Amino acid sequence: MKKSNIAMLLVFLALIPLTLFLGEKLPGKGYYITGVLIIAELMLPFFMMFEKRRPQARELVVIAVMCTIAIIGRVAIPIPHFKAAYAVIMLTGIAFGPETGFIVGAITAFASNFFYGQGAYMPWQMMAYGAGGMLSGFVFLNNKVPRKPWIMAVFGFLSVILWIGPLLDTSHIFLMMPEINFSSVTASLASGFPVNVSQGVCTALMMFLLGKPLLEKLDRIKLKYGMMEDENGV
Amino acid sequence: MGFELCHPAVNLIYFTVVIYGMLCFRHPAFLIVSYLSAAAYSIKRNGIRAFVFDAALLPLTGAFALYYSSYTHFGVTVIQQNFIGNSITVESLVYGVVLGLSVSGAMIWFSCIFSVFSSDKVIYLFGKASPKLSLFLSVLLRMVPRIKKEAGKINTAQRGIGRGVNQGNIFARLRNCIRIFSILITWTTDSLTSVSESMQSRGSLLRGRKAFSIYRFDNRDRAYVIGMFVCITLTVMGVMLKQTDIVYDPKIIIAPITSMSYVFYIGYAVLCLMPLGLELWTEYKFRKARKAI
Repeated sequence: MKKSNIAMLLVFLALIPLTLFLGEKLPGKGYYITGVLIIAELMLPFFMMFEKRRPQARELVVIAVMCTIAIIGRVAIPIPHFKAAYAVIMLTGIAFGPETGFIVGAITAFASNFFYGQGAYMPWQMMAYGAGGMLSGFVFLNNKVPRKPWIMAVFGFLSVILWIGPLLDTSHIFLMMPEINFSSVTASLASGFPVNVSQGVCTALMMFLLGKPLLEKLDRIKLKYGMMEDENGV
Repeated sequence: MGFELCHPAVNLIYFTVVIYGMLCFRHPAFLIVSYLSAAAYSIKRNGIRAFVFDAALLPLTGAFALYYSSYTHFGVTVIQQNFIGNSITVESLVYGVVLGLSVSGAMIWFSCIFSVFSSDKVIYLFGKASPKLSLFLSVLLRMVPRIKKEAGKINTAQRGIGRGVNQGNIFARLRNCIRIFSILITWTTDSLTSVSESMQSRGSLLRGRKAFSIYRFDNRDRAYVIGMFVCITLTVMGVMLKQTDIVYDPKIIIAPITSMSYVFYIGYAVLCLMPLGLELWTEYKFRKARKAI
């Protein structure tokens, strides 16, 4: 594991939960501050990825394009809870690693919420979407798991049901519930389950359809420009 | 001709002030003055299309007022009761009209902004804050028409081999659309990357680099700014003297209209009509100068 991977895990496990916890205390539209803080924290592992050199404009440009595609995937499909955004975020994570996956997920949640309405749940959404990209980055790191369409589809389905969905439901638990106990938590997770299944089916479908062509494109520009790598080309 | 030739900073200040006024004043006199001048200026600038747009907003305003008054029930003057027993009042109806007018007026002002602010003005104003930001903005703003053109090119090429967006049955068309979109994504990432690479190779992000612009702040701009601030001062005086105050809930209460109020109304009207007046005046001068040849 590289240093930036470890930093990513640390940020995800320590800094972001701390930010969310403190951010809840902010009054009014304080969630904008929390959201911006989360993006700022994510920059740390992202910059560590390049070790000695600084990220170039072309790398930021590719991140912006992936975010745009993910936002289109969320906004353009008119069926509720059946959005392609997760699949695009996960594919970015697979192609460019966990740090980039997290950043693309967080920015997608932040930006696409301007179409759906912002709320106190926005920082949680940023965390959950980003965590999806991060998980896919770690699972497919160093090509240990083969990048077959059906493997990615199964991975996408499972990660939405067991990872992103529950993470999103925790926002409901912490923001809405008057008291937190075992039964209220299980009730909240159970009520989110059908939505998660529908999202998971969409993600699996999109991973199956988009997986190969999109990864091909991303791998091509990665090879062509040596993107998202440190000086030694790793 | 006219207002768009002013310095971009003047345009920015003017539109900020006018839209702020449009959205904040709930007094009918101020509202109608701003609404009518926005409509006049947009029609002057964009002709028949602006007229259709402005006219289409009026029934929407009425529909919004009906919707608003049937869901909010404040006020004492009851018109009638609806079928679930809530009363529809004059006050909420009037307030709905006021809200609708102020939002649609702001939309008309925005349509004027789009016709006055060209992208190089936006880049100039942002470039004052950060040259890097203005560089990326110029790349991105140029990218949108480039992507549109490239999509047309790809479609033409694909049509040559029978894979255009309007060839084949509906499934084939869907597949063709997805294929063209996929090609477009490849092209966009590649082209954006090469643009940013070449910008960097030419030293666009070096320290001390300034953006070129053709704007300078001359005496005409100064005169405009002075006139604008005289009107703004008059309006602010009106606000301080509670001339813009109005209460809709529970009863419509307007501040008493004295002869002084008309001064403030006229000040606000001059402020809102300034770009239109400038436009008409420059056109008049231009025609006169042409006759003298």
